[in-house]
Amino acid sequence: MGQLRLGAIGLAAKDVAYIRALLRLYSHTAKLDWVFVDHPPFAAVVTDRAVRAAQAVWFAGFNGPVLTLVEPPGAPEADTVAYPVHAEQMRTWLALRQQTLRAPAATAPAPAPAPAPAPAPAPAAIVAEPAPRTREAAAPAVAERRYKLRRWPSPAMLQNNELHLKIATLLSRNDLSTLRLAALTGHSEDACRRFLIMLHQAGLLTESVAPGDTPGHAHEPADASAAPVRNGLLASLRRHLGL
Amino acid sequence: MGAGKTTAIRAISDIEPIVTDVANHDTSVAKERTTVGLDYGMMSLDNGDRIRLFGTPGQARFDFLWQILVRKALGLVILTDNSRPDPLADLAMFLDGFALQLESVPCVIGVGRLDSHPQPTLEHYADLLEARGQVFPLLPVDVRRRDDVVLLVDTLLGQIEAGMQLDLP
Repeated sequence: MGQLRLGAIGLAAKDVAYIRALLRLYSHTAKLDWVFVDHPPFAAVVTDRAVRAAQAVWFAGFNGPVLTLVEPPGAPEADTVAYPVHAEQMRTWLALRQQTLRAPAATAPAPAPAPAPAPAPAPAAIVAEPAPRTREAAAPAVAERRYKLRRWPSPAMLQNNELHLKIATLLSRNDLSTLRLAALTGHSEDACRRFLIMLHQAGLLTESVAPGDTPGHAHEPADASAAPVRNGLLASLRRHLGL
Repeated sequence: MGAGKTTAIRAISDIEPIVTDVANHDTSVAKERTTVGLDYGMMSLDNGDRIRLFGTPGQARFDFLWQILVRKALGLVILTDNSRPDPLADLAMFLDGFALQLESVPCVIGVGRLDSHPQPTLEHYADLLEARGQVFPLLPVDVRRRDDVVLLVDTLLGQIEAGMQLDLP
């Protein structure tokens, strides 16, 4: 398994040198498996608040963790560290992020490279996805495109449509392929793809490439995973509210 | 303050909400009373479960209460009042206050009084969230209408379900 790649965006040279030196020290520790790199792909990045605000579009398209350096005293926010950067704070953050980044890779055939930051792709990227039968015949590790919401769609786009709302909800929490969306929503991949195109044309999606879902997922009906939910607490709550 | 937490809870609670409020001395907000403790409501479900509803004060000095209540929460509804001087700053304050929890606890945002105060728009709220790298459902809401409150909760349930589905192997 390759090392996790940490980059710096818009930081002063002295801060970059300091973080690079810290990672070199940590590389001697078996538990931390990070390397500081100058070029993408990045698994995570370090930046400061001003740069993050100025380059909001880039950061919105970046799927990995971002550590933001802030001026002291610094609010106790997640993923922030106040200047001066203490080695132990950096180490703790890297250890936590390594855990979360490595968790899915532990079961995947091969670790996926962190996506390079890029603007939203052309709509043809969604339309051109291979049909499920083609993907089923491929090896489980075939890369496929996954999508995630950058921002919540307007009410006009959602149109009170149950599928649109389901897709927006799912994509607000994770990056998913059209195949997986179809399995989770119980709708056809074509129906999911039509709404994805709308979202894409409105500039609301980010895209990444990851190892494909296993063939088992392609056949997983939405009911199989939703049955416990429907019969449980949330179903009772919906009935109570008259939904 | 003034976003309608007490009214929203009353709209869906099976019991008359227990309200801990006092006379409002903040002249910048035109209301007689304001929540300084908790609002509490409850729904008793047909399967025997009970859902507890908590409304916390919106002032930042009560953020210690937020941390306590959100620990085992199923989900979080943030209500903003678009008639306030800077509702986007209000939202940012709540997002900062719940930053850690929002990484895992489902959340929806209801924006009140958009009809009478159309600025900032929902797009401005979405801009704020996008700049923070966060995506949450954004709904216009009039908490005096039960249907609006129910839609907020239904959307939150969708968020909770999505999290459960994605957690399944």
